[in-house]
Amino acid sequence: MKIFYYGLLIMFLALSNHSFSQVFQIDGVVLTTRGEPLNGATISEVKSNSPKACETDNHGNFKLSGISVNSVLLVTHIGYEPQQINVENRSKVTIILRQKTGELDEVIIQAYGTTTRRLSTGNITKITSNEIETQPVSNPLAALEGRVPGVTITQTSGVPGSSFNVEIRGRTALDQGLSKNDPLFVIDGVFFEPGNQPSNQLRSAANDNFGNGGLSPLNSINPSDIESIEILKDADATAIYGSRGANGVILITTKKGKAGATKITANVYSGASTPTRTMNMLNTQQYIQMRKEGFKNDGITPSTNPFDPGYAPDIMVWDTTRYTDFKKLLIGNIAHTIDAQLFMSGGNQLTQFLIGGGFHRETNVFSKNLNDTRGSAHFSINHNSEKKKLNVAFSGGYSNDKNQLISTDLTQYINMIPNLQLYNADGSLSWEQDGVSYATVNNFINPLSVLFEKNTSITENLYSNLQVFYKILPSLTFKTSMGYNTFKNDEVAIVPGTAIDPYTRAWITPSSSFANASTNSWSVEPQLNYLKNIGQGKLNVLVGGTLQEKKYEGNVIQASRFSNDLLLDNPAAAGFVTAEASQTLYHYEALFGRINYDLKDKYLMNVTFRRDGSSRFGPDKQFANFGAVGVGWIFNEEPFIKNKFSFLSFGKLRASYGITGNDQIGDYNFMNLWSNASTTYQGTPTLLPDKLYNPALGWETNKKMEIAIELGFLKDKILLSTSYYNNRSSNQLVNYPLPNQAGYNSVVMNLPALVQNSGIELVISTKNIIRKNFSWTTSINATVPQNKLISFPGLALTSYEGTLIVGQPLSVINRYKYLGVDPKTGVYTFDDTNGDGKLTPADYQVLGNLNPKIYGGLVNTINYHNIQLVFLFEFKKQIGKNYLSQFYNTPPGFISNQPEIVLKRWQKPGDISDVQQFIATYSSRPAYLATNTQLNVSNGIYSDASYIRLKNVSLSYNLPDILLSKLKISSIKVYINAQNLLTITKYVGLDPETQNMYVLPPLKTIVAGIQLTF
Amino acid sequence: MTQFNLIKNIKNPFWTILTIEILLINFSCKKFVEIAAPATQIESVKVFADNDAAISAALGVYSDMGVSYLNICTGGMTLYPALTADELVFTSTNAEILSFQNNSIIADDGIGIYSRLWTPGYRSIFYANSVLEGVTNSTKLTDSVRNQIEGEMLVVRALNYFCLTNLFGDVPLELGTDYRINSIMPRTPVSQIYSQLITDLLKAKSLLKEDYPSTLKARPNKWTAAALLARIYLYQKDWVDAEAQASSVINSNKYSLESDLNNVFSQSSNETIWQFANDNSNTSEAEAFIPYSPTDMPDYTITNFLLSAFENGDQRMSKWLGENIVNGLAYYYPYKYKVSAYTPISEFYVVLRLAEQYLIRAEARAQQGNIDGAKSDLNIIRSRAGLANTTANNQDSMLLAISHERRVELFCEWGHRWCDLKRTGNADIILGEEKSPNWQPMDSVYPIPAYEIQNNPFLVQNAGY
Repeated sequence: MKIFYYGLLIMFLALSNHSFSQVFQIDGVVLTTRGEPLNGATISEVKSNSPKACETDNHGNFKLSGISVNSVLLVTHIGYEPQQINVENRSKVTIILRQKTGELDEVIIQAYGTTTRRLSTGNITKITSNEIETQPVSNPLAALEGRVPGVTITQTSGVPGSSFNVEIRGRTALDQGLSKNDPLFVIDGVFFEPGNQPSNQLRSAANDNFGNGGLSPLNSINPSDIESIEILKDADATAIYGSRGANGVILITTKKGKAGATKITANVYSGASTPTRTMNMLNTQQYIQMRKEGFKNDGITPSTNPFDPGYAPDIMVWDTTRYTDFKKLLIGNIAHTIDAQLFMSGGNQLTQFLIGGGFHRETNVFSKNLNDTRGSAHFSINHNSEKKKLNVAFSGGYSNDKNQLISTDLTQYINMIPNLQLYNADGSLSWEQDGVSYATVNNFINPLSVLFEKNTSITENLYSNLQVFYKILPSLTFKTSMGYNTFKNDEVAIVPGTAIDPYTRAWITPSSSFANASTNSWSVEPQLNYLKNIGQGKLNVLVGGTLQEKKYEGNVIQASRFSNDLLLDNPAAAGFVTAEASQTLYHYEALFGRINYDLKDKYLMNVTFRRDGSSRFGPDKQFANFGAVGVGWIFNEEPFIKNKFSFLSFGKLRASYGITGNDQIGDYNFMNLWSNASTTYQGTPTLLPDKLYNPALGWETNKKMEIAIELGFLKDKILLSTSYYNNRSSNQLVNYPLPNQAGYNSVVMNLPALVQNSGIELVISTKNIIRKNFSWTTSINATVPQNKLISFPGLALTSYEGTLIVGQPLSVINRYKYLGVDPKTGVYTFDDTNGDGKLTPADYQVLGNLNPKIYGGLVNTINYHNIQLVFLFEFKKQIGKNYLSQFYNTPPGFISNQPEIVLKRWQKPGDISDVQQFIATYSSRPAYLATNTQLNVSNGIYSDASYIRLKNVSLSYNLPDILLSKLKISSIKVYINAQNLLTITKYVGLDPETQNMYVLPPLKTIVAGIQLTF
Repeated sequence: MTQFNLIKNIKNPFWTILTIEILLINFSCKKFVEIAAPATQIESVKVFADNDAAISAALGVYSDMGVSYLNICTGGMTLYPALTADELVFTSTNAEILSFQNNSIIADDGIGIYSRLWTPGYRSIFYANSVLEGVTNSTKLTDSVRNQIEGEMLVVRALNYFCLTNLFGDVPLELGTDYRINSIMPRTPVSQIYSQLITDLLKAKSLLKEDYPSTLKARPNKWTAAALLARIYLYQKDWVDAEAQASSVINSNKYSLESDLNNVFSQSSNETIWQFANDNSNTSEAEAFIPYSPTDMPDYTITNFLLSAFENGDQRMSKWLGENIVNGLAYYYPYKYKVSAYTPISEFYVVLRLAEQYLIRAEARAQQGNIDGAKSDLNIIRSRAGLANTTANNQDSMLLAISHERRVELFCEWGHRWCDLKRTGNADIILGEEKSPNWQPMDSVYPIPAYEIQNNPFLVQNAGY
């Protein structure tokens, strides 16, 4: 039919060449730049005494009569640049409207399609390559910190390649050991299956001393290859991902080629990093003084005899004048970063391409000989058939990351006693001093030996996506997206003889571990998209399906009892070898749909649906339905508002409600599986049950509600968006702790608990000054989150009793109330609420929670001539674990170094202090018990961990055009970028983000670079 | 939007393709998300559908129970009770180990009571129960294999309960694998546990054959069940049955005392009734007790109380104690196991041995007034140790002599001293004096690990902790 109309139109245009006079009628069609008819455009006569006006129909046609031959017509449409035309006797016109390029009309990637901020009914935050480029980071997640409202991204360690915790709209999982609240990651429309789970199987310095953290799979994605990152938060945006959308979705879109002359961009930067924040430790003199005071308080004489309670080789046997600043020695090396990127792109209207290569290397603060090096390649080809009926887009990337680390984070040893001898006279590592072996003293090691415990991890990531579009009819498009991702990780960890204390060599032998893992996944997603103007509105229907498979294979070989260090790379040379293999298979399928109706670009409605099946659940529990409804009303377009509030350039109310799910529980938990046990019995292989299984596992559901208002003032110079969200997550999947009497200490099960995350997000962006050579824009985002356990039937009978409280956040602190140091006794005291003279769990009180109270970021961008300055402050108000949370079991005075702040300890009756008296032995019962068994279950180990961080500063200068034309280069930019430059905080500990005394704080990095475009 | 009305309009290619798509997905659906077990694992039903696989499952229980370092059945039952009683002194500074020696164990402690004793004990019980359920529900195993495995697992379970109840007092008696029942089970009275163990061991004795199903004695036979049963009857003061069971073991003619004390704990000892085979290393007791060099201070030294209990000329003192001279002073350590190197493997870990059966029978006979019978059993043990016959000649002196003999024969072995002090009601009297002022009556049972109390609201802590 449409073709017929076009035909008629062309005929009319050809025939109507003669003009009428005075009273006149004009016929026309309004089209987009892509040639699509534009429904609902307003055509109005200007400069007339009795102006006429009309709107275009579904086919973009209009007819306006009663105008004059010299009339001037104004054609407007929401989201498009207005256009003025002179009639000039024409009776037929074709008007092409250009889409607006303001912030509101920028294209935003959504699930299975695109939208704009103006027309979206959901909550999607977009981070563009401009924002990513200014940040000298190797992990795309690092580039998001402080920029996205409703999202907390926390770096787990400053070790290169280490992982980030991501929480979109708060913690829903009761059990963070099981799912970590990780969102779904999608790269160019393909599920990135390694997700945010640590990629290393062997322990590395990227893990903390409990094995948490680890290497981030997303570190294998070159941030420079990314065009944009969209974060989908509410039901409207995420429900189409069904069972995988509960924790939000992060869409990563890579760079694509653009039509035009071939463009080559080269970018190189180099710089240096050191830890953001550390604590000064006691020097030897102060340390010795602390020890002696501890013994004095205990009433025990320090002794050289190992069998005395006062045995203190550190002050009685060893040299008490030697001093090593272990903080400086172990984590004080300046790390160097170098990054180089080269892109070439170009093409014509039908075919475009982009190829790029990247190199990134950073050494680390432990030693300059350790480094993380990534080489990557990225490409994208896009081809249209001549009639633009067929479109094929193929993109992909490959990266190879070699992370040479050590097995243990050396930060763990900054509390090593400062007078430990490190080297013998002959330059070899010391393992004993004056006849006292380190191993016999508190299991000390020589921290420098850890540098011999090499841990190398090689990660390869290949992702590719082929999309085929075929326009069956002008209104109907068939699309198939096929994705493949393979992610491989090879690790080798070596403990050579040189890293082993000779004292323990008899039973600790040189050893090596080898691990490899691969995650292969493919997905096929056929889709049909139907676009039609119905009535005064635009209907867009999407129907699709997903078939997906993820296959994981992992092997670990542990080889020990090597007789020497020569063949550590060959497990066959080991005296003892164990091997483990694991495989998992995940199948997932879905049918999904979306119906979007946009009436006059004023009333928006979006309905999504998904039916999912997942192999992670037992028989009859595999399928579930999800869906959402989103509505929007662009009210500033209503005449009664437009006329009265002319300063309001944009106003939208939107709301959404829907159900998403979570199947992040690992595979096979519903099956009763047996595996080979680690050893044989009399040479016969053995079998053992794997774990407790639960055949009744089902989905966790997350019901999300959001209401938002978005406003633009003064021609969108000020844009404001506020949303209120309320997500309720139920049928919680948890790795439920059990007493060991049940055989294992946990089982994966559904709990009837209901967790609510609600909050207010606010984004304001302003164009403060826009002049020719000077502009200044500001964007601020802030989130006030709230987390609450709404109900938990039978809580008292579960193992969560005491750690969870109904009506309180999941991170509630229910512990002894810390009352400070008793001025009389110099011992920590705690509130004995029931006054029974004993401290028991009955004395626990609710003492706040670890949820951030408010967090966000503030970005300023200033352009002056060719100079650009961008700076981002990230802020977070919260309570966190302070240094005492890790040091409680070595109270100040024990044989372990302490931060300088312990010097303000209690010394004599009457002293008011936060630090209790020094103690040196276990014999001081009240003081020892206070730190060792009470302080760590009190709120004394928590304190303010709020911070304001100058997260990113970028100063760049574009060389003037005059110079460029001489050099025949289209642009040259030189810049200095910095990350984590400044941290303002009162936090007592290392860094308020990592909150761990034994973990390397995030690094502050300054780089200088140059970008050339030809 | 009324999709289904529109579907009628099948001429439109949109709806045609949509319909095909729905059909495709609905057909493939169910199958696609039903996945098989991974190639690296086996489903439970398949394990017990095959004799060899079922035997591997039973062996898995031993391999897990018998190889870990100082867990309840690999030396933990020896070490910790030896410290809480009066056999060993810890010479280093680890606060948690010292707390055993000082009888000031804290329920929060993570290693000793929690990860070395309670957790592996219940883990083995869970494994044994899993195998028991597997074999009893299976219809595909041959009867002889089913009976053998069932009998073995009943013995394994009984051993673990015996140890747990002697350490912690009343403990939950788990007889199945359903975590919904097991995880909220309260503590079961000791008497009820013992009567269950007696039932189980009687059944095991009837199911098991006289011959060992393994090379050496790495898996229980009939007499293994009887030997453990004899001990439990003794603890229950059922003298008649204790004597009967011990006699059945002694008279089986399968075992004999090793004349050379150095061979008692060797792999091929004739005295062994049950041993754990360690495929990868020698025993963890040897690793824990034997110092790394002859000049090192042993980590654990024999107390003066135990040293002075040895009579002059007792060969057990020279053969089962090691001596290191440090700074001119002699320190003694347990030396029943003699090989601390990982390999080659020459010692298995002995669970039950014949000498105990003689001592059980001697005590049971003495309690029944059979002084001569008791004397002959006791003298068998004494003469092997190079000692003269006992001079005890009435019930009281005989019981005292037997108790003394148990102390020096079974020292630092599976917590015998600790259990004997408790079952005879002497713990408070003897330890109260030796370990004053640390000893309190509450110390005769260990605290239930705090983690367990926290995760099972029906568990009640032992008094005083």
